[in-house]
Amino acid sequence: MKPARSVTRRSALAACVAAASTAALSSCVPSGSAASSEAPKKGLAQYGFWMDSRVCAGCASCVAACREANSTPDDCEARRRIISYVFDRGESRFVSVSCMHCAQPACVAACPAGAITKRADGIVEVDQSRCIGCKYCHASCPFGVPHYTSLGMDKCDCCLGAGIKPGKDPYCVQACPAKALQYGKLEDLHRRAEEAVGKVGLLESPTEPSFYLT
Amino acid sequence: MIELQTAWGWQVALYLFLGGLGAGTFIAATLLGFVRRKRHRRALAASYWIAVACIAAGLLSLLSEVVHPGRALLMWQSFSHLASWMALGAWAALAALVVFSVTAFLTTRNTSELLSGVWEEHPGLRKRLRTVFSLVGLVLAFFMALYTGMLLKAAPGIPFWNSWLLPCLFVASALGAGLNVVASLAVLTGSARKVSRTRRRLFAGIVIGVVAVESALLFFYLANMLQGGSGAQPSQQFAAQVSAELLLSGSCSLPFWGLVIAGGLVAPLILSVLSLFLRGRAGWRILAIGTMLTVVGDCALRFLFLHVGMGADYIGQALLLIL
Repeated sequence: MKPARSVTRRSALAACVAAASTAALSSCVPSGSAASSEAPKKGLAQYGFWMDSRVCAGCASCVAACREANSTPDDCEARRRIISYVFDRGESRFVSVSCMHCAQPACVAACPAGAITKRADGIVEVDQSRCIGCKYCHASCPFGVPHYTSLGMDKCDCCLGAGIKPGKDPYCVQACPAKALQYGKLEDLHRRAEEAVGKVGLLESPTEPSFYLT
Repeated sequence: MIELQTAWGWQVALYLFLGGLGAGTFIAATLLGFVRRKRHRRALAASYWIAVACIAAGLLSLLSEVVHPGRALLMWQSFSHLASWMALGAWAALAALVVFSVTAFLTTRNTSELLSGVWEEHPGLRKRLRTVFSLVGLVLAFFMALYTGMLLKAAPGIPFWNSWLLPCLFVASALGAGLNVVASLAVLTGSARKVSRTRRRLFAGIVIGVVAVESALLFFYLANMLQGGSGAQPSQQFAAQVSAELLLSGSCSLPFWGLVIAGGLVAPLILSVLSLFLRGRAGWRILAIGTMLTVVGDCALRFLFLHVGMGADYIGQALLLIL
């Protein structure tokens, strides 16, 4: 497991203030971002993840499964990582994060070699044989997901490279003992998440991630 | 928690600086050449070769940062996605390298005379070629200066860079640095001595103007970032604010205030004003010292801007909303 990250008192305070202002700002948010909080349109093939942080214990089984399935060398960063948040109120949450397979992936737009593509099913994948490793995709990704091995850029491809067919659960999801990490079509995930916790929206970022966080 | 970007190291910062410096030097030299070519012939030739060296060294620096430098050299494949600023910049840098080299070749007497037979057969051809390459180079140089800022501006992962003021600042900074390099070379080659005091004052006035524009852009840029920048989301605004605070009062404040503000803006401004009142060589020398400080400040500016960039914590923001 990667070193856990924590929320500092300062950042938490500032984010609290910021969060409170989000509602006020929501009317000013550009249409692209506003759309990201809505359920995806029916019939649009877009796979994504639902991370239920309420039940994640931070065991990092998903990270280990990802590393093993994708043969990530020990000295390289895994495609998935666990971020730990500790809030001033004493609450803590773990969030398992990898590529968000965004609707508007900044990495695809940034890649000078055209090595990153978004498939028809919404999965964003990289052709390592074209990647030059300029790291512009890392600077462009709002989540800093792309990382680099000796082969080039490396990131989650929903285990397509590990033999999983599109639509089937990747190894990280299969490994999660608490079913905190789920995978599927966005409309299915949206329905399941709303059944579990009530109204939910996609994670907000300029790239419109295919990721529900509850 | 938000973290400083670590993907791009000093090589990219050096590339951004050298790209801007090379472009600015070419622009300043070409403009000077349009006004007084013969008098500053040696200074112009040296400026053009310095512009070539800057672009070449910058590209080598960038090449040393990538994972597959050999693959990057296959430009038609590795920079085929022309919607990317990285690809546009790579092609522009290559074209600039070629055009700047030809201009330098045609401007330098020793190299140009290698083709003396051609020039004798076609009178006026050398001058026409030099003019054409200077003009094409001018366009490429301006694009290069703009591109070094656009490369960062177009990366949405770092809110501190997402402002149109950034390419404007980098263009002003590149032009300032270029003017200063050309002025220093005019002093070193002795052609500055032939320049009248009135024209030196005019040049000092231009330097003061460029430094003032750069200072104003930097002020508005940082003021904008302290207000949260152009990001619509609170986490973006917070990241932009923290980056600006790092520069102004955080761990990067010493090099920022010392090298960028005092060394790169205030000192050149004071020295340029002082040069207005001095006669003869002393005036040029003091102007040249100030101008070299500007180059140091511009270099520090790019290193610091790259260093303090940090991503927004969208996940932390979302958790705060749902908890």
